Amino acid sequence: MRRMIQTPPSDDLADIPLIQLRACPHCDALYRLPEVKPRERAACSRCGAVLMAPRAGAFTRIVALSATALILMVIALFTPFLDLSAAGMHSDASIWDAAMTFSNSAMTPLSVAVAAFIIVIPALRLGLIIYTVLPLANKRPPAPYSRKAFRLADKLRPWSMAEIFVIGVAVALVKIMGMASVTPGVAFWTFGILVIVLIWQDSFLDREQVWSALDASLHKAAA
Amino acid sequence: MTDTPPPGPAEMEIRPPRRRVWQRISIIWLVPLVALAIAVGVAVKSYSSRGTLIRITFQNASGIEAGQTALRYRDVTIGAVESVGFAPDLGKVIVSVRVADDIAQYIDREAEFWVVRPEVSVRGISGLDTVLSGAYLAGNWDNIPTEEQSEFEGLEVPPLQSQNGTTITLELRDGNQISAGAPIIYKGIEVGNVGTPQLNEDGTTVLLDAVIRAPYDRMLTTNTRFWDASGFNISVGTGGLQLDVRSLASLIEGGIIFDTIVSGGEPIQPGQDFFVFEDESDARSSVFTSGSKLELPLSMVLDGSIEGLSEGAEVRYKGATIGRVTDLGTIAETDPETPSIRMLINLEIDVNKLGLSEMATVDEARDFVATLVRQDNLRARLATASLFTGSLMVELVEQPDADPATLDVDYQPFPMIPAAPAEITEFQTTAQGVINRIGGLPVEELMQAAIGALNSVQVLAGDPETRRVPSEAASLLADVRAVLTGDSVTGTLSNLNTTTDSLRRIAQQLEDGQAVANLVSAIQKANTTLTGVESASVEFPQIAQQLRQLAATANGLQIQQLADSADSLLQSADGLLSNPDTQRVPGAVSDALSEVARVLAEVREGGAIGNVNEAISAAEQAANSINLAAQDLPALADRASRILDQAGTTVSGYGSDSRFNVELVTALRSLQDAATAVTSLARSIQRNPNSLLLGR
Amino acid sequence: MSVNIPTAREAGLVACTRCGLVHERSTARCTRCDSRLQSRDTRSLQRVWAWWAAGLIAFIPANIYPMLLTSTLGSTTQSTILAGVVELWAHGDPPIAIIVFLASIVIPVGKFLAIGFLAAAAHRRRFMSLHAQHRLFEVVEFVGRWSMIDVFVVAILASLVQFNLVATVNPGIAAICFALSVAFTMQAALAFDPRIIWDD
Repeated sequence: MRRMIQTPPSDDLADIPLIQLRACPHCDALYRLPEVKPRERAACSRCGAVLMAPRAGAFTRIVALSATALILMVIALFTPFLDLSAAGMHSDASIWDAAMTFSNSAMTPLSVAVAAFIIVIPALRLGLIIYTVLPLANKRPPAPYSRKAFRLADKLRPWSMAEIFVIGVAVALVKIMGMASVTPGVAFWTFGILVIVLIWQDSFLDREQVWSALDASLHKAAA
Repeated sequence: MTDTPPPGPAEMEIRPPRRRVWQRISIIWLVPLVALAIAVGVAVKSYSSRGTLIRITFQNASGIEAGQTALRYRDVTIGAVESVGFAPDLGKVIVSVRVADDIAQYIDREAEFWVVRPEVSVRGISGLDTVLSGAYLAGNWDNIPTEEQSEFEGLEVPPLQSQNGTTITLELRDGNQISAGAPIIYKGIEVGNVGTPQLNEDGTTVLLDAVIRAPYDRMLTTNTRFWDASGFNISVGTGGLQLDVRSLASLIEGGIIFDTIVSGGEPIQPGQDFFVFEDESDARSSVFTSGSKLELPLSMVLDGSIEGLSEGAEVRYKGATIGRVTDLGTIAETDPETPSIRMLINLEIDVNKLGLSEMATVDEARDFVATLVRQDNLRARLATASLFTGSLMVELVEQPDADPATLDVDYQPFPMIPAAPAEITEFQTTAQGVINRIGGLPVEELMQAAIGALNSVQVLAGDPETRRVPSEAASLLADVRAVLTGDSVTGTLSNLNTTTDSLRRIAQQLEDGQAVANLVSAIQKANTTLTGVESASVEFPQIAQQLRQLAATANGLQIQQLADSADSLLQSADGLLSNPDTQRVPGAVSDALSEVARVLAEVREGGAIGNVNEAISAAEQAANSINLAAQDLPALADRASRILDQAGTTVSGYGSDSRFNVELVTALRSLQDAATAVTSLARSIQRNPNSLLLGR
Repeated sequence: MSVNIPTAREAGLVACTRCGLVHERSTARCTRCDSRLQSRDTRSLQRVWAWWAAGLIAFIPANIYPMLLTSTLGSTTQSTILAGVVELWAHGDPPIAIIVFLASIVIPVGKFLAIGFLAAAAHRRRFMSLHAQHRLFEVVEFVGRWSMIDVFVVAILASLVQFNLVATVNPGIAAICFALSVAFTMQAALAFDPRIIWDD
């Protein structure tokens, strides 16, 4: 349920403590921080960008789902991903094989990049998020460098391409399916579930919520 | 500082009630727990179902890739190579293979491992799929789980598949024509293979492991003999040219055939030794002799040419082969007065073929031969082996009238048996002689005489007069018929009868009177009448006979002769009768008969007899000379046909339906089939390379 | 309908783009998330154009050079992105062909056009309403990463189909060029400050 929040213009602007003001990152419109109930979403009146979308019990859930995602990623890395058999011949590939395939030719940097996109960066993000949110979930003071950690996680967000990889695998499978028989391994299904978990986790992750909580506990700690 | 009253009791800190455990912990934690459980479960399962590790050593690891190469048993993948490493001394390669547990329990000490690589041999290409899919390891073990072992030594060469057959050892004198994997053939079907040839310990014979597949291994007894069927055999003998090609495989890579020669042998043990003979006849005859091949070497020295004698030529005694020629050479007689070069022939006589007992030694054989030389004048001489090719053999014969001689046991290198003059028939001179004799036959004169006789006969037959005979006989017959159908026949018959009766009466009455001459003339007149109506009645033959008799009494021998000739002419006229003219039978016969009448009339005149007689005697002479010639001809033809037969069988050996041709054609046909198959495979691969991938 | 909504800039304040907190104009770093505060980056458009140009330059070899090298039984076929799409279409896989076409051709080209347009029209309202421009930016931002599908497809195919002689697929040079192109355009979109759309 979205509610457009409007703030009357600047008359009492000076009275409002800065901490209660927010601006839309997209269009710079100025707003007063509203009360947003869980599952409600606060959006910018001008450009429509969603600014706040808190969830109840978000932190615990975020940590749990991130941990799940990490475990699933470990499984996906160490179990067979795809098995191809055609005319009695047999070939198999793991996710790591898929990433490293470019290193056989002259395109080793691309192997590094692909490995980063589908393995390293998602895993790193998950780790950083757990690092940041876990103390918040337990209502403890945040870990050192939490802010840097969460900021890095946020910066890396566009570069985490695990779900794109899954679609890519689907396309590739369709391409080969006519020619040979492909057996998906444990890693295949695990990776699919991983992507679902990531999307689920993402729905709980509201930046405003985390930053506020971080801010509050930092101030509390300072105080 | 003033005294302050002691502070009052402090307030305890009251903490809010703690929520119960399960209220505190959100249900979301189930999710990671499940994930963790799955992860652990998967890890444990994959570790425990990993399989057992076995290590196999090889000389090199060509085609073996860690993580890729599979281990197969009966073509089913049961494991994979995990890693490839070196032995501590770098002398061998150790391949670590992980095998599924349920199969690993059967891998015991007798398990064998080898690498399956593509093999191209004349048998065909085996393991072709390894070209595309990479080499793989194959293993062989029995299905009895005994004590497990994990260190093995790999075989460099795939072993013989002896699971369902009997293994035997074959011994060959010369392994030249046998290659590994060559077939063993029984009655034309392939029942087994040989392995790789190896030398025995002292390098004198070649040993082969062979396996005969079940159920054919039941045929093996101690009386089974093996012989070499490699390549093809061409022999030229009295039967002509013979080509023996067994199969395409044996043509190129050799093959061994066996047969159980006689029954009553005992079953064999696995690994039993068998000797492989050079050819079938050797093998078969060896049943009746023992297996030992003791040879008695001898020499003989000759003057004169030994052209036509070669190494391996047979040594025969009374027609039976008892040995062979091993060596040909020369000896120089360095006597200064009569220096000469003489021919030296070394022989080898099979001790058993001499008929001595099985226990006989070479010395005993030698003494036996010495006795024969001394007492029975046994000598050695060259003889013709094959008339056709002019090859020679050595013959041992007893020559009762030869000078006494002995076996020179001290001669080097072998004891020398005295020689006798050669008995060589020169085919060329024989043939030449036969041809000369044929040439000497007076064939041309015979031909001339025959031609002359035939000419005369032809003239006679071509004479229009002769030609007219059938038509005239036919017309005579027509007249006779007319007469026959007339009403006056019976009357004529009775008249005839009465005439005959009255003639008799007149004859009797005129017995005394001198009316004989009158009678004769009367008879002659009646003759003419009667000849006219000779066949007037049904009793024609009788009348004809009477007439003949009458004519005979009247005209004598000449008429008889003439009648005979006329008879024969008539017989030949039979042939003439079959020409269209004689379709009108009556006319033709009457014509003939009238002609005969005319001739007879002439005969009466006595004029033409001589001509006819001359003609007839000329014909007779011609016929006689033809006869004589014809009597000679069969004998000549016989001889010629005998020679032609001989040549003919030889020639027919090349004929289109001869065995030689058949064999050659079948061999060529199988070559052609193989080539066609390869071409079509290559073409289909070229057309559709995906078919290899997709298997379509 | 547009209500005159004050912007932080107008109010003399500066907002953090990462966490939304508003600060005094002169503050250098956000107090909450410690990211750099910039009211408007004068050089941001330059950066956008630079990344955009780099992406465009990388896009050309990505389409000229082959993306996939397929060798079947010794005969090698090289196929570029376009050729791959055509082949998929011809092989009776239209849906997948469309997906690949979209991801590998339409989206990158569209991104170039969109970002170029947005950067060019940044201070002007000429062709599109502000809302529409903003929409366009959101779409570009969301869709940009999905062009990487093609690179992943190549990675999977090349790693799976390795059958020595019978069939081998190897990645071509276009793969790395295409990946660079996508990365550059993503970076161009990231460097673009959407606030300048609304600024004029």
